[in-house]
Amino acid sequence: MNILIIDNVDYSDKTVVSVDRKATIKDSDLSGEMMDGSYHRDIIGTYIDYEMKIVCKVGDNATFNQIYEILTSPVASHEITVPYNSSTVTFDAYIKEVSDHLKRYRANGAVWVDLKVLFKAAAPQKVPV
Amino acid sequence: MINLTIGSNTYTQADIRSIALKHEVNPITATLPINQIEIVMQISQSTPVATWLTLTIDGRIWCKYWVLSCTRASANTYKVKAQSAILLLSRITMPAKMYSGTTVADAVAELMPSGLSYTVDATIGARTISGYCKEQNARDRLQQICFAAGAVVQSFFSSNPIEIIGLDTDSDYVPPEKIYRRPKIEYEDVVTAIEVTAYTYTQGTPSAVDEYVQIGNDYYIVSTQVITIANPDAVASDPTNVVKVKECTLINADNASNVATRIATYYFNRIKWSGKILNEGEYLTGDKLSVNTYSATEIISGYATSMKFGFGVGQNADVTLEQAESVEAGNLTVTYTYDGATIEEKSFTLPVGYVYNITNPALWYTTQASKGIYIPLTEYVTGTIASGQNTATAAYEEAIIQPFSNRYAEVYAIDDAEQKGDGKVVFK
Repeated sequence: MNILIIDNVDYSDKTVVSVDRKATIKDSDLSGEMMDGSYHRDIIGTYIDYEMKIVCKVGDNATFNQIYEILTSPVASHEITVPYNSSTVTFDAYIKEVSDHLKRYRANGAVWVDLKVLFKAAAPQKVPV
Repeated sequence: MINLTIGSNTYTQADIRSIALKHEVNPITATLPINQIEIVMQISQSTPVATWLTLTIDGRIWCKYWVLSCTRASANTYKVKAQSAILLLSRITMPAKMYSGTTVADAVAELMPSGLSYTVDATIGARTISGYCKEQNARDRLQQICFAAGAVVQSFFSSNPIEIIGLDTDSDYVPPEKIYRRPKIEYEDVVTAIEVTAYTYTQGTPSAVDEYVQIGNDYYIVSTQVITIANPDAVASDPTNVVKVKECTLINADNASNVATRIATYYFNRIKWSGKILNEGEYLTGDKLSVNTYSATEIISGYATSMKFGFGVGQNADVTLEQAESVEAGNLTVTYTYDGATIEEKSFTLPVGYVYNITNPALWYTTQASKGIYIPLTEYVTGTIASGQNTATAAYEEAIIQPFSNRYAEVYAIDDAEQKGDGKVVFK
């Protein structure tokens, strides 16, 4: 089953999504090598980013355009719900780049494909305890 | 957790993008340093200015500074600049005054604006000062008083914006695991001697050739005496380099010897150490700190005259130690043993008198027959470093054995009374 909810709008049934997930355990500037040879880590937390390729059902250009407008809106972040392990997770993510490809342009409209977006976690999902 | 109050407004970590904070303490300088904090914030409206800013981390006050300005850098970005209360003293003009056996506590009280909370260490406060001070601002007057009394001014880690304390005498050791790699050690030019001028002021009518000062209708005839201390470590081939201290008119016959000794200690110890250390507020600017150098056998100790803090989840600081000198180091060899035999040895260079508390690590081993882990029977080795060679021993037991002959791991319970074989569990 496909899961994609952006800003409380559920696109799960209207899209097919390819998802790549990448976790980054981010250090602050305080991390570094010490005089005894050890490496000191000052961990801010773990950020889990989602890279997605979004495909709409054939002919559903309206949904495609709606998603494109949301993803390219100049706001600081979006609330998204995406798959996480065996369940889902909801968190704030920011977007810096969105790309797609014009497949064809005809008198009755254009068909855009290969919509790619990287949702970067706006805050760490896991923090040191 | 970082918390910030500016006037009656409170802010949390989520409002703060960056903090730049530098503390300075200099026992020799003629002018008291003004410490400063700059905070970049993501907030919706300007902060108050001309009020107190208090930075608190995990419930501890790091500084209480006076807000100078709040600059808007974007729709929601503001940069707040605040400085230590010394700034307020620099705005107050003090008239010329002749001190005569005045306690430091009384002299300081005259400088402080009403409403400014401050403390004076009891021992320092009871010391007396005598001599003339020209008309000057309260900031420079306070430094003159502190210099004569052997005190320093702190403006951090307290709810009091100003604290006057004595010079630190006990050195705190900063271990290598708390120092980032590649500190710099600077060996400065040799000072061959210092000359300190002491002043005597006698009320009377000066003659044409007398040097004098005047306060109102009172005249004081000035006589001076120069105290010279030669650097015992200087050699004949060192070019003459004499530091002259003439401007402190609170140096007199009573305190000249102490002041001269203090100045000589500063100028004759010409090692400066600069490096970055982990510091969550356990080391303060003005503290005497000792650190290892690049030599395996040398430790130096000096005063932390500046700390520029970095803020992550924890905190660190770029530190400058001045007036540093070599201190006696002892060597410690910790021997880790199993069944009476040595498994491994580890050496440390530590200051003499340092009370060590070193964690015993788990030790891996590999032989032709098996690999495994030794676990210490005690968590630490402890003791006090004496001159020369020191030794300590930590006993270990085998906790896990993985023979290469099979794929089973043997796991043993370890405690003080345990012997190998007791509580053995074999995982298959």
